[in-house]
Amino acid sequence: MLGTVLIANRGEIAVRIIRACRLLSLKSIVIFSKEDSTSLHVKMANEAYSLGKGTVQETYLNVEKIIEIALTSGADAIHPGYGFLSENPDFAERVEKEGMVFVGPSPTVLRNLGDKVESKRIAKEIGIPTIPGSDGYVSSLSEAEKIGEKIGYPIIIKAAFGGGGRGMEIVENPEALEISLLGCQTIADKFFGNNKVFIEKYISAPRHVEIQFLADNHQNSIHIGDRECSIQRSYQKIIEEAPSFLSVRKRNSLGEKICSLAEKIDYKNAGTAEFLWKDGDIFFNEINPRIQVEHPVTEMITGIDLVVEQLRIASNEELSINQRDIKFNGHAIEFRINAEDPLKSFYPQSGKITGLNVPGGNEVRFDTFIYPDYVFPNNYDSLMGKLIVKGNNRNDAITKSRIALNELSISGVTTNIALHNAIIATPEFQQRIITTDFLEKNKITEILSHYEKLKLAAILKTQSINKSKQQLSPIKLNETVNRTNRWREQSKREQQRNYL
Amino acid sequence: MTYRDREYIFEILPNGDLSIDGEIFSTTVDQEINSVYKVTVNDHTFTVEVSSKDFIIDGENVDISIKPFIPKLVINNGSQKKKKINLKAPIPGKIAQILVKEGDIVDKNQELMILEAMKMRNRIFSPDKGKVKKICVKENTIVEQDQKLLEFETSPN
Repeated sequence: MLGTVLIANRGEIAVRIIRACRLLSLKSIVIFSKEDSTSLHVKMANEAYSLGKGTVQETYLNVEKIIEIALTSGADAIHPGYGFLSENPDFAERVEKEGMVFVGPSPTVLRNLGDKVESKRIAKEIGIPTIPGSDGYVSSLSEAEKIGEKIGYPIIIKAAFGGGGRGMEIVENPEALEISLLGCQTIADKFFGNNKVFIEKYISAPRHVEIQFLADNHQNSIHIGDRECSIQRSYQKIIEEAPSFLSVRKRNSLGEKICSLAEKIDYKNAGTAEFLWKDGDIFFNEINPRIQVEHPVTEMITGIDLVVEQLRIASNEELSINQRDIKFNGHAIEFRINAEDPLKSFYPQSGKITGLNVPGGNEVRFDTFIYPDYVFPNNYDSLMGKLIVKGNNRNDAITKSRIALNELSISGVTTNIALHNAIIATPEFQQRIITTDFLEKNKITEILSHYEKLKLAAILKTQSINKSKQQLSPIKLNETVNRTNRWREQSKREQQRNYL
Repeated sequence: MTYRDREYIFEILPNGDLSIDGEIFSTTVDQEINSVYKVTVNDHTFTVEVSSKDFIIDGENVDISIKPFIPKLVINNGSQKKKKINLKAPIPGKIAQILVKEGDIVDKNQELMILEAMKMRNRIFSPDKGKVKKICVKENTIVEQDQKLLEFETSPN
């Protein structure tokens, strides 16, 4: 077993990894930028080292400095979390060269999977359906025109090394092809240092499905079920759930194929295969070679601690679970709690947390790094925490989620908690009619704007009462509680629709 | 009034109902226990705690500020008045680029600055035709939300 793990990350995932280290009695070492000196991971780790002041490139992406800290602090492994250096093959290579273990796949695998065309080619070879498109890179307009004609418009031009919703151009018709191709090549070159692009059929408003898998250093690989992440805002997932809507047969057959892919490319550690689903067809999209933000929903329904498994695999241990031991129990939903104002085009927010009320109850989990009086910085991701709720089935999970979301309150910084409330109150979400354009299609921000005005009206009312207290005649407790709650439930949905 | 840094206009109607940005709400107070109110608005019930200086609604502490509404004078007959406008940062972030200099005459909706936040480049446009009076920030510096970016003067028609 490893002894000391350096966590090259921050925020909730750093805290999550510290917890896994504690479970395995490993020493945890963290790094932090000047803005993060009061952050929770710094307080929780066994040792914390400063990266100094500066941009992300100078701090959490500073390979030299991180390696230096790892070596002087005696770390024998580096866990990269998600984002930052987690998918960087050069970093993984450097970690190995210095005699430490990179908690993730090998540099070669990271390099191959980072290239979207290469990973698509591998998937196709295994017999996993991929999105129709170019077989390799496209550099000339005439090539692009031919492909467009073959697969039909709309098409999408993607940067080979792009990601996170950037470096993509949707082309509606052949007339727009030339300018889009040129635009995408320029962006690819500027942001990803490589102007290679490829073309795919554009799938509008799909559903997002993914499969979690684990592979150890002893030729064992298992798939651990699926997740659906269709509720998104500007290509960022905000609600994820497990299991997805796929049939058991479909899930297992995809899982088996993903495991053969993992074996074929000699994949090690945890990974996720992402798919797009549309009208009954499912297409391979990409492999995320790291732990994902939404991993807890899988943990909740399987009981497997994925981060602990990652560290065990990195310690060269064999997988402790067989494929047939994996059982799914109930339904879990995760809500990403972001510091952003949904009514101001999701502008990121920052500031001091003046109040925090964390929900509780059976099978309610809140993974976070915020605490009262913490000043939430504006330099990084807006993710404050993740609320994960498990129920016996999807409806049960939604009911529990409503209660937990109502209990959760964060003061001082505007969050998207109310947005989640508005989403889960829609009949469409409850009936699982969800696609990646859910927010726009169901006019969620309009519903939310109305909710906010209701709250405001309540505040203004108490304010006017406070001015003239004598007008008030209090009513006894038992007379009102039942009445208000009963019709609140019933009318919530209808009333919400009335205002649209 | 301002609530969560968003601006709303409200009015208390003669029948006691509230109008917020044109939407009308009827509110009733069901209970009061030590400055904790159960307020029903249309069909929703909220718990509002009132302390000496702020409000807590369903557990969340909120900041509101109320100021009397002064209707803006509608000027449409080619008034010669110059108007000063302070442009503020809509979000915290970094000034990536300043595209104008002090004294520049700009058109309405001309791009003035690029504010980078969360990997996104947000463009700051001029609110009207006029002159850049003063630039209050430098390139590559971090700004807070609502920090003054530049002073702007509308030009007479």
